[in-house]
Amino acid sequence: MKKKAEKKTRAQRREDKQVILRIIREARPIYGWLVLASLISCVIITCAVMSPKILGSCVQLLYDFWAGTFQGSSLTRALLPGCCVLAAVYLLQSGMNYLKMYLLNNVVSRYFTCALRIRISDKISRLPVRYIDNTPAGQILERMNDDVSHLGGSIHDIVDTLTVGFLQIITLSVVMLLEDWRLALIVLIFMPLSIWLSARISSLSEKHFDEMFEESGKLYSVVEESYANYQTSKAYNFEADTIRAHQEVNQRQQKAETTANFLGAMVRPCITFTNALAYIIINVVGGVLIVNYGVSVGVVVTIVLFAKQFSAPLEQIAQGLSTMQRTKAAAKRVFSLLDEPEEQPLTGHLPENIRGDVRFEHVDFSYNKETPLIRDLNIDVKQGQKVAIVGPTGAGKTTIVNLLMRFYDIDSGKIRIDGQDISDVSRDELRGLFGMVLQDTWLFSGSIADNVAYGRPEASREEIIKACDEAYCHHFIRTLPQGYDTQVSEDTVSISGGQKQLLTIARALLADRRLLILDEATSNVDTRTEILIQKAMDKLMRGKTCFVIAHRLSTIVDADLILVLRDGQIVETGKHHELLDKKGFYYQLYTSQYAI
Amino acid sequence: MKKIFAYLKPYRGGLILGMLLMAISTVCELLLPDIMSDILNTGVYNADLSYIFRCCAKMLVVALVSLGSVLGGWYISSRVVAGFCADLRQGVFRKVNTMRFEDISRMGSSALLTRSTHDVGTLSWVASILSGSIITIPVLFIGGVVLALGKDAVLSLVLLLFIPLVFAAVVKIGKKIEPLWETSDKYMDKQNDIVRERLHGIRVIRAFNSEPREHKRIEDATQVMAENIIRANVSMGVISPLSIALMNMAVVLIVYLGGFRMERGISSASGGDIFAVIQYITLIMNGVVMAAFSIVMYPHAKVAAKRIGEVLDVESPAEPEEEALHFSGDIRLESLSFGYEGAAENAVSEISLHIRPGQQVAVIGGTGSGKSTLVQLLMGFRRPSAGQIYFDGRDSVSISPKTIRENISCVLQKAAIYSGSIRKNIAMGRPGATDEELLAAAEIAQMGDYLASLPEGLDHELTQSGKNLSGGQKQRICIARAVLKNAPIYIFDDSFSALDFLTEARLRKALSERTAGKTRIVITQRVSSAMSCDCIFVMDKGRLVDAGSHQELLERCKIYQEIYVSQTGGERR
Repeated sequence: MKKKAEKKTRAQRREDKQVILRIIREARPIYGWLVLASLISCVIITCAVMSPKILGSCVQLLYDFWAGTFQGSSLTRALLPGCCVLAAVYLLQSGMNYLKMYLLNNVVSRYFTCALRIRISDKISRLPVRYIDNTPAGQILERMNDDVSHLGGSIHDIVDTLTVGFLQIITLSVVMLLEDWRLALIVLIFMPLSIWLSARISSLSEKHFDEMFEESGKLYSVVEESYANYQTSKAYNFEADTIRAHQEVNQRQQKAETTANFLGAMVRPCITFTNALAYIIINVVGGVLIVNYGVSVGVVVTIVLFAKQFSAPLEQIAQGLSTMQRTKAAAKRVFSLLDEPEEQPLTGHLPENIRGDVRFEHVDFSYNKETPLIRDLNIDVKQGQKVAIVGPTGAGKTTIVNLLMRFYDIDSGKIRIDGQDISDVSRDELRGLFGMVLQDTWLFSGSIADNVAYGRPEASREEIIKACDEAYCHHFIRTLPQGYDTQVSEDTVSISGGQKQLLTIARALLADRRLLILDEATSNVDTRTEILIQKAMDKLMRGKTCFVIAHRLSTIVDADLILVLRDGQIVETGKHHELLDKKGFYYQLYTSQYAI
Repeated sequence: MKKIFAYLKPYRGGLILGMLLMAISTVCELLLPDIMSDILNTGVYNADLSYIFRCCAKMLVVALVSLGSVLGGWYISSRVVAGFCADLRQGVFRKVNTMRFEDISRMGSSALLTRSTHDVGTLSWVASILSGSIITIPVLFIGGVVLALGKDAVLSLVLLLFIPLVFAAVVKIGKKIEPLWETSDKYMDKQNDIVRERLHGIRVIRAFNSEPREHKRIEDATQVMAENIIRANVSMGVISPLSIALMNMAVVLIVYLGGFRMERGISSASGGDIFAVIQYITLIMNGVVMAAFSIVMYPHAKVAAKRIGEVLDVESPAEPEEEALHFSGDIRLESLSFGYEGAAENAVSEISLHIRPGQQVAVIGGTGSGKSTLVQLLMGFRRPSAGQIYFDGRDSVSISPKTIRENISCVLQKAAIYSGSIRKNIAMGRPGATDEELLAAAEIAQMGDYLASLPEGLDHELTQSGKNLSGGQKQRICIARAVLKNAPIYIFDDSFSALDFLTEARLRKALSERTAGKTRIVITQRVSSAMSCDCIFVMDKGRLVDAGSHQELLERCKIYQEIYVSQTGGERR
């Protein structure tokens, strides 16, 4: 059992080391600044070492005066230079501290929090659609925000700990040893003890903090779920059960929180106590030394002050050790996102003046290897024809769209446009051929005009208005208080679902692409808007090669080709009447809507 | 605010004890330098080793007492804080669960979510930090100052002069930071929104080749956010070097002034006394830093407490007693009107209709026609603004909403899926149902094939809000839930919209068998879902326009004709 645990830690340690090396590599552009920060730290440490010594000598003067052993003419005159130097050293120390803080914030934080986020955003541009489809948005957001800010914050800590903490301890130790090796040894013996103790407690509390975060994540889900399903809970008189479920997780969280907070708070008192122990022993030994060996009071006072200074870097190191674990975990997640494979850049070109013939030749495709989806699909669509894709929900109608736009790559076979194989054509160029209206009406946060002009940002206001007029949305846009400059976003409620769809049609009209992909589902749209949408879509389709995910009978009836999908597979193809005559699945599908 | 303090009441004892222990430990910490100066003054200078040992023993005891009491104090306060926060979370959650729908929609469910989780979390974070340390601030201050005064009054006054200086600086910086945090929070939200939007709209973005544009938008928002965070951090970072510098200046001044007064013979303070005063400065400084943090954190906590208070202040409605009623399924609406709060027009107005036991009816109309509002009223989620709903001739206002809901099998528009097994999701309809009953309900809901295809069957785990399900599967699970409940009245609110025609037809057939003799109300936009019903109510702009069978309406009702033509392309059957 123990052996197994050891083995695991060895593999983990190697991985940890790699993550740390990676962080160090990532920081390369700011090495210069980090060196500067370390230099400043050296000044700070020098000040920290000097100040107790100066203070000690000043206090020694006071003792001497009080004991009557003072040999100068004037105490104040003797104190003055020491006090001035001391004040200067203190001011320098604070000034340098400020400078270092300013530097670390502006360089390290900026680099790790801002630049890293921008890199992730850039990465998203090149991630395959497959990755984005399979990854919850929340996960990517969490990496971009929580993990990155954690990284930024703790890198700060680690740099601080490494440069200041260790350097400070080393210099303090050397100076103390030079001052009086016997007293210094006492402090130095206690140092590893308190580091060990605090690291132990930290790692213990870490475990409970993790547990606490996990439970609070669960609690969040419980609350989120019950608020999202509020009406259903009420409809089934389920409140009592919901409250009980909440209570259970809540109690677990409470327990973890109690332990985690307690252990977390223990670190400081324990360090204080070991310091107090060191303090006592220094006093006893120091007393003996003063009485029996004639060591000066100033030396003892200096060592006492040094010993006090020891606690700050010790706490810092203990803190650093405990955040290290979490930092590594965060860094690992961020790096894994940055290392995701990207869409391969393609450089091929399409011929100019595309007509819009589309051919699928022996196309195979599957989303995962185990369940083949499309097998040996052959379609031949001529310029200006209309292809309707029908089938029950979840049958994979959008797969065809995914393949045509190369959101996903086919496994084998060929897709040709005007006879040209598209497998090595630049994705941008290929996608530039298509206009798209999806069921999921996507509006980005910006003005209506910006949204309509999304496919052609350089379009003039007149062109935008013309497109909106053709798509029957000019009228309702004019009734909005800010007209075309009205701000909208995905969850805008001031315009209805149907109106959003009209806007996306206007967007496609303005973009004016050779080929079209339409998803005409219109749930939650009132009858009149639906008629407008239909008319606008007809206009849009005129003279273009269209792929329509069909929900309306009118589209199906006059389509040049109907693809019938079932469970992800194309089961029938043909024209409306041919398919009806077959009395197959299409026939069932079509007639069922009139069944009583 | 007052309501929140009420949650502290059960913990009063623990709170006081915890604070007492913390105070004891702080006093001990204050005593240490005093003992130290005793050792130096009396022990060292008189070469009295036994005195040194005695003092050290005293110091050891004090340190131990300090350690013991601080650990005890932290233990108690950790328990108190965790308990208080758990109670508060539970209280807020319970409150929301008994709120009226008006209040829920007024506050918004995402705001309520933030209040029940994030805000309580902020409060608990602040409470856990403050609970242990807040008491030490005055003790450190007062104790430090009193002890210092005992050593040398004039030198202590120098100390007292510096403290307000430090505080003034901290407060000023804190004021500066607040707007910076606000801005960075705002841009953080903005950046999140854009990323979310971008991930969601990935297809459209790629189709229009506009990834570079989206990237630029994120870059801009991120830069503004980072700029503000950095500025806030830099401002906050000033606090520590500044206050340390000020206190250190106090040290220098005290040493010099102490020397000066000694020389003039004004003061009887010894070198050890002055040394002790210097040591007290360190302690008082700890207090200052802690107080500074409290000052910076206070606005966070205040905002959170205010927002939680708003939830707790909402009054829960008084409801009639629950009864063991069993409805026959007779529903009568009498000039029923309802308007949402703040809306200029009624969502439904003057609706009168009668549905008899066992009747199968449909309500059809476009968006904004008021048909979903009708469901809200029937389920008792909302109360009519005017008019009445009668169940079996009894006014719904006099019946407990729980009793009404007990008598309705309802499938709401938004398919509600709970994380957990399929079994758990369906069994909500009737807790304690057997597997046979569950499977039978699933079969009627047309999910038999789906269940059979799953190796775990009913025990198949669903993720939160059914992300691993298609829209149709979600609707069918909700239908199975309602079928299992099998109450006298069935309501389907647009709950077939994600089903293909074939599945819907089969489902309708199976439902007709199961619900024979029960009242069934189908709210829909699809003519195909409505046409087989005994009676179809056509709604438009909140009013009941017409009622009749499919054939009758097709002949005389213009709105119904319009809907029919738009959905079927005019082809008649």
